[in-house]
Amino acid sequence: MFQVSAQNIISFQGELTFEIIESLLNRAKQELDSMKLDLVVQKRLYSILVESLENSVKHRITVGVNRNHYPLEMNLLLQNNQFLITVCNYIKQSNAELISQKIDEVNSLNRDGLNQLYRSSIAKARISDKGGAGLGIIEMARNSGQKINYKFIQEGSELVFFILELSLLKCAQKN
Amino acid sequence: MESLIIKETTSTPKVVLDSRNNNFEFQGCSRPEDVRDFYMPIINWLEKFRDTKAAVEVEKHATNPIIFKFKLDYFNSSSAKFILDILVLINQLHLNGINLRIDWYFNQHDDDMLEVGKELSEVVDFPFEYVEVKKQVIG
Repeated sequence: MFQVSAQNIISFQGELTFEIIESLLNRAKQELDSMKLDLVVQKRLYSILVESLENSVKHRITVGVNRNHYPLEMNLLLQNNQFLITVCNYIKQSNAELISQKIDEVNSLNRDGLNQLYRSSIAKARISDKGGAGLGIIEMARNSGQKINYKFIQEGSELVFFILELSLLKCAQKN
Repeated sequence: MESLIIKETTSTPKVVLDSRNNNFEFQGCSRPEDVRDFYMPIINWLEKFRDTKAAVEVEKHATNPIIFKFKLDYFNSSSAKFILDILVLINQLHLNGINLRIDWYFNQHDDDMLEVGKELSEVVDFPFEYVEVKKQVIG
């Protein structure tokens, strides 16, 4: 099958702090502005980046040195007319199951189901101590329009490296 | 009632809640680092506006409905929760008999922002006016 080589738009491996997330989002905004995309695609991609990166910083945990991965690894690629967004960070093992349940739930829904879940969730949402409303994964799924992929790599008994992968078609599709 | 004016930044919207000049507006991008810190003063201001006679005073001197303008380019999911809370408070003003309108601005190329407006209008059970604008900016 004909393969178009991937265009790497943003790649980062390093510390996970609010300042770094802010700088990545500002850089992403500039890159997206320069790509002359449809406004809807540009904003959906920006929203996926905001939600995935903010999620990683809100749920970050301090890990010691000499780990197999950086605290934050993220990548934004354009390949075969599709944007591929990967955001990876360490989380507590105890949070993995909840995240997995939430993603499986949104992956099981079609567009109408997602919209219904969003409406019922926003109506009863409470802001957590970490500043989240519990809507991020639903919003990522609505903006992506495709299934969310994820993987957990076990590191010791209490730590997992969480790999979140989202995609978005370069040409706008009606949500 | 004292006005609440917040200047726009790259991650927070401009907010104007000015009852003396009958000017109520939210404009820009919303993804504050601490969403509660940013939105609670706005919620508190609107609760006070609802619970005192300030809204009645504004309405008395206005010839047209009080207009709340939402000119948002982008807001993240935790901001959405607070924007809904703001809309609920505005709807409560309406239920208290205040003549008001919500104008929801969207870029002509941004169908998603129009859809989000319709969605929030449905959740809050209050009809919005939709205002299409011709510019291309995001947060």
